[in-house]
Formats: sequence, structure tokens, C-alpha cells
Amino acid sequence: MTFQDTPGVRGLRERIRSMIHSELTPEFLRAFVSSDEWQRQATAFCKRLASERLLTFAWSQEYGGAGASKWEQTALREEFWASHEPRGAQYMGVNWVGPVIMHFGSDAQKHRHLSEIAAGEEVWCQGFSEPEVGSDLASLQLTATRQADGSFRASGQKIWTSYAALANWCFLATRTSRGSSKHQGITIFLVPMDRVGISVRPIDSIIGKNHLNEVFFDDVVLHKDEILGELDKGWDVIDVVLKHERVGIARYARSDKILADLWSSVQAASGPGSSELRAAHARELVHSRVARLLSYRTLVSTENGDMPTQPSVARIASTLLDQRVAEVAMEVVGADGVDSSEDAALGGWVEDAWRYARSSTIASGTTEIQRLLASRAMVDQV
Amino acid sequence: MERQWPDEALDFETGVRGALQRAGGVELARRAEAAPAVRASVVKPILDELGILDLDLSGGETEAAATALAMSAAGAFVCPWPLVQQLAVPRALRGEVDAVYLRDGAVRRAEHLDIAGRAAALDLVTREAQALRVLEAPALNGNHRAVSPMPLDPFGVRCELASESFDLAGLIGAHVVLAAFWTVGALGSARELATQHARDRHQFGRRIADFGAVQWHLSDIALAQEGLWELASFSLARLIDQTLTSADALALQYLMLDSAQKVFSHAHQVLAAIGLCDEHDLTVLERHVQPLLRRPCGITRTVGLLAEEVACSGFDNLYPIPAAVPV
Repeated sequence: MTFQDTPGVRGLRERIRSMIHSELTPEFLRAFVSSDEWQRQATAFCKRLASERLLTFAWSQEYGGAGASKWEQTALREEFWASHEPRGAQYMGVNWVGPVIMHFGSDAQKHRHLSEIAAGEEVWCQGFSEPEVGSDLASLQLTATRQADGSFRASGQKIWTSYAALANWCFLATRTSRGSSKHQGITIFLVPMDRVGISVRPIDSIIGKNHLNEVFFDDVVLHKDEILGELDKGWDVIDVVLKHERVGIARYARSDKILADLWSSVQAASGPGSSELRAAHARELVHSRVARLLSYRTLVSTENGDMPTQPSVARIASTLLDQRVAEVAMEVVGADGVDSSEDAALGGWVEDAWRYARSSTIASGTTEIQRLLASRAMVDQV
Repeated sequence: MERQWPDEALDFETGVRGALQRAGGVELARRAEAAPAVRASVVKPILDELGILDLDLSGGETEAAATALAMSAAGAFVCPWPLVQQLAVPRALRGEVDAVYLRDGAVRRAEHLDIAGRAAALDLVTREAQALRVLEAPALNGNHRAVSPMPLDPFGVRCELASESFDLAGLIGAHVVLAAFWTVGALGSARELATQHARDRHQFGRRIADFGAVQWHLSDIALAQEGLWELASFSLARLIDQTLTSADALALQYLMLDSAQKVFSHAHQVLAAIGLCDEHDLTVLERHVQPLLRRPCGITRTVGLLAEEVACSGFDNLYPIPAAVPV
């Protein structure tokens, strides 16, 4: 039993860290930012990664990847998340859209999308949540009605759609029929965002630009060959998407990096409260290590089919850690916590880190849903 | 990264769990509390038969894994024997010292000291170890009275430090790792009790597991217990590799205390009044694990020591905290 990186994985980490620091400006690395300039940096960075087969590192060589091992993929995810995900909006295409197309897609869909994602040319958004449908995803209402010529017409609304304004494709979940259960009658379409009838309205939020949008579908034509998987069996696809999503985000790596970045300030703290600050920092160092170990366990158990509580427990640990570490960071900089200017303590990045952490227990499945899944798995396990 | 436990170690754990279960499980601890001689007359022969007391944490990867897993299996029933303290001593030192206890300065009581053999107390801070001297007559033969009338220290024995000293500084990590495996075993039992109760107990026409508040408790139990299991396993691997640092050991000690506090408090809330009764296993598990948790010091003190150690020696995370530069 060993928990150490192999020399190959260690080398990969060094390579990625070096690439991040040579390709991206310090301003990019200080926060989860979304200005047009920083989006351009992310796009250029993705192309550099693509040129070295690192963008789709985990994919098989057949689809333009490098066939990386599970632990190499993990190291890559960790390094990117620790540096504020420099793949920007493209992480979704790489992490789960591509793999799900490999799983369910037709030859034409694979040919159309996989090479484009691997080249860093496609940005995807996820059309899942709706105004009345959040955690209860299977109750989605956006309707795609079959036409006489075999095509569909979609009308309705999606919401909280990250990167919708930047995306050129939407992974769209629609209601195509009413089955005996709400999980039946769902169909996934792969839809270009420039299709007539689709409009995007960005929503300003505490977590910054581009993260939240509304997407409106007004009698949008969807073609039969844009269906991913089978008609009315889209829940099977969503199930695989959610499994990829749960292990795709190495939030603990970001917390780990923040704790390291705080260290010199924590060490230098003096006077009343300084010992409590050091204690709070030390506690989170431990919980950061634990969150990482729980995530690693999930990676193994996903393959082995072990305890079903594991993905949810790992996710709860990482997301709660994210918010606690952001609070420690706020404590470290004190009154400068609300100041994002570069002359503020630690260059002002704490303000952004704290705002972004607010979404960690909500995005990609709320903590409450994870708790429900974990407890249900415990109770059902006899 | 290789996370697989050796098959031999897993088989050994199964054997330990089965033997202790057949001997009564947690009931054995209850019996020993009422009649301390049960430890020598019933528990010791079982441990001898299993061969646990011959295990050595420093005896290679498979033996170390077997030791840790056996500790977890014994902790699941709060087996009334000083297993953590005895197995923290490597085979080569046994005879000179039979058991090692952790201390933080002075020592007034130690659990199972009356049956531990030649025992030493190892200071968590100074790393100096001194012999422990029993101040009360051992209750080995007492069939009708507890060693201690104290519910949270049922096998505690009054003692003091003697002048004889030992070089045991390297055993802090072993003690902490074994204590963590013992504790995570006990927490696993508490988890099972809470889960089973949530599944079986019906209120307002539904099983209580269907209530959000109960689900919240259960998920917090899973988070705390599984997190401790992972960190204990990680720390064991470092102990085997001889890369476990003082900061690693303190990190595990802290998480052990934190996880135990969380698991037991959430389990009590799920079980409500029945969980408070001595006839229920939850309260026996919680009471009997307390001496290992409360000695040598509490969470605040442990975290303080951890913070000092991190400042001095660093902490090896994905993004490590560097060790202080020597002046």
C-alpha cells in the first residue's frame, strides 16, 4: 500500500506547473476571472495543451488523447484546479461531454465533436437546470415536440447555465414524452448555440461573469441525428454525465494551494488571535489531506464498485473544505478581505476566492443532495 | 498509488472480528467492566489464540497491515485489553517495555495499567519516556467490582511516573496510528448502530431515515468515519515507509478526536434516548473509547501542537508547507 505519486506523475505535475506559469499571466492565476482578455488566455492555453495532447490527456489515442492513466488524469485535474482551471470554459467538454459522446454517440457524432474538443475548438454548456427544476433534474419540462418530418421543435428555458454566452454547443436535456415515471421520456440533443431561436441572457452574480446564464429556446429546430443515445432514454445518458461530474472536479487541490499561499501570512501573524489563526489553518491542512484521500478512494471504488457512499462523501468533504478555507483566507487578510485591488493584502485574490467558494456547495449537485445520496446508500446497504 | 490491503491481513481481520463477535462482541466489554477478571480469564485467551499479541507493526507491510486491521476489528467491540499500548511497542523491545502510553506532562491515570505489564509513559512534547508505577492494587482477581467506578474511564488505574527512563521517542507514530485504527473501528460500530436504527425505527408513519434531519446526521457520520479511515490508512503507509512525520502523527491524532466527537454526537441524536442506556452498545462504545481519546490531551491542545510542528517542520500536502529555515 502506498499513497505516493509515481515518478511519472511527479514529472507530469512539474511539467503542468511550469506550463501554467509560462503561459498565463499572474493576473489570471490570482483568481477565477472571466474578462474577455482572460478568456482569450484560456483559449490559447487550451490550444497549447491540445498541441501536446494534454487537453484530452485522459482520452484514448483513437480520439485524440494520450490514454493517460487514472492517476495521471487526477494529477492533471488537480494542477488545473489549483491554478483556477486555466482551461476555462473548455473543461466541461474535456471532462464529461467528450467521454459521454464516446459512450453514447453515433459514429457521425464522434467524428463531428471529439476531434474538435481535442483540438480546443469547441466550448460546451450544459442545458440541464430549469427555473422550476434544480436538484430534481428528472422533472425537467423543456419540451421537444416531434414533427412530421422526424425533426423536433424545442421550446422552454434553461437556467444557471455556465458559459452559455461563450459556448458554441449545448448538451441539451429535453422532455420528448411523458412516461410512467419522470425518468422516462427525456432525450439529450447536441445543439449548436447559433441555431435560430436560442438566446442567452447573462445573470450577474456573486461568483462573477459568465458563470450563470439563462438560455431561452423559442421553437428551436432539433434534428434527429442530434439525439445522443436513444430517444426518450436520456436519463441513462444523464446518469453517466453525473458520475463523470462527481469525480471531475478536484476542488480540494484549490483549497490545498490556497492554504499554501496563505502560509507566509499565517506564520507572520502576531498579537491577539494569531494562535487561533494558526490553529484554524492547521486544521484545514488536515481536512484538505483527508478530502484528497477521499477523492482518491472514489476513483478506485468507481472501478471496483465498492461502497456507494463514496462519491457523495468525497464531494461533501471537498466542497465544505472549499468554503472553510475561504473563510480562513478572509481571517488572514482581515479588513482587506473585501478589497480586490492589487495593493490589498495578498494582491486581493482572497476576495475572489471567497466569492467563488460560495457556489461550491451548490454547483453540480447541492450538498443536500449529496447528503441524501450518502445516507440513502448507508440505509439501503444491508 | 496502491491502496489494496494484503489478502493475508484482510483474512486476519476477519478472523479477529469473528472471534470477538462469538465471544460476545461489545458484551465482552460490558462484562469486563462489571468483573475486571474477565479480561484475564476470557479476553486474554482469545487474543492469545488469535496471535494478536505477537504482531509487530514494524514487521513489514503485511504484518503492519494485519496489526492495523486487527486493531480496527478489536476497536469495533472496544475489546477490553490494552492492545494499542502493547502493540505500539516493537517486538524487539518487548520484555524491556510491555506497553507504552502517551502523556502530556504529568500522568495520574492509565487504562488497563493493572494488566499491561511493564509500562512506560511517553511525553508527546518532550518525547521522554518514563516507567509508570501503579498506585492502586490491581483488580485482576476482582469478580464483582470494577477497576474504576468512573463511567468514562472504566479500566483506569491510578498511577505515577517512576524514575526509570526509556528511549521510546520513535513510538509516538505507532501509538497514534494504532489508536486511530482502534477508534475508527469503534466509530464504524456506532455508524452501524445509527444506520440500523434509522432504517428500523418508524415515526409519523415513516422510517426516520426518510427525514432530512436524520439523513444529515447519517451523512456527517459517514464523512467523519470514512475520513478517519482514509487518514489512518495513509498514515500507516507512511509509518511502514518510515516517512511518517511528527506533524503527520499530530494530524491523525487531531482527526481521531474530531471524528469521534462528530460520530458519537450524531449517532446519539439518531438513536435518541435508547442510545443513552448502558444496555445499548452505543453508550458502551462511547464510554470505553474515551480514555484513548481524552489522554494525553484534547483537540485544542492537539491542534496547537500540530500548528507548532507545521511551523517547524512543514506539512506535506499537494502544495506543501515548507519547513522553517534553521536560523
